[in-house]
Amino acid sequence: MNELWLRVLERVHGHLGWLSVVALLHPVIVLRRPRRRARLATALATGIVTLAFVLGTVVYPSYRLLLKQAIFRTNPRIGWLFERKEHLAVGVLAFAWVGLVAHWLSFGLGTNDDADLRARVERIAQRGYAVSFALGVAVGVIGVTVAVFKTF
Amino acid sequence: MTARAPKTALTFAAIAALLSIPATYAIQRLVQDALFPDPNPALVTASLRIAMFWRLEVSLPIALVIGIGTHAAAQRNAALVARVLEPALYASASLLVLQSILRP
Repeated sequence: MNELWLRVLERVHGHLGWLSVVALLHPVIVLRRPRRRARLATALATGIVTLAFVLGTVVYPSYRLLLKQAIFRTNPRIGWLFERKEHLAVGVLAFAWVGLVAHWLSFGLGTNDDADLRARVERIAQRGYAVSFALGVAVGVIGVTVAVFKTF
Repeated sequence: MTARAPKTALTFAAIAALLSIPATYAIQRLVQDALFPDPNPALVTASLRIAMFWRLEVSLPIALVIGIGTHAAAQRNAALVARVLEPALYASASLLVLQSILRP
């Protein structure tokens, strides 16, 4: 992949990342209400998170080959920050999917004696998005910090 | 068990499988750091084998096993599994955050 493509993909990844953070806030808010349906909001938020993550994995091998060592040589703290971003991004993706799966599957529950179970699944959906959002903010801030320091 | 039980068990299995991924990812990183610590990244060129990817690859079959186990448990006692899942969410998130902070 040439440097121009890397620069473009990195920027698209960064912007999509922040867009996904904003999108994650929507289900965090609307799913606080019990029995609230938010299929589109959850699908869009999780879809954007997934797309941002996939783009990140496309750029990541080039980051390791071209930037990682140089960053660690000049400022190891920034280098370790990026390592943290990589781990937390896994959490952003996984917990967004927890929210999506819990929310969508909760529709099949909730009649008669399953009402309590449904309430618990709905809460897991909301909490999943809340955790994903919180981790997403951290990932976004770290991403900008590293990009300001060094980029393709 | 009600007529909804199969769907309930499937729901809990899917949630548990997904919740296990950040936890198993973090545990793998902690074990890797304890047993095979990385060389100084400033001194060596990054390996072509990307640890983040294989940690995710290892997490997936483990998630499948946890999902199957949760499915079986939910068929026996769905209420108990439901009570465990929310604390499991916090535990999984906390483990990943702690690992990220302490052993990046």
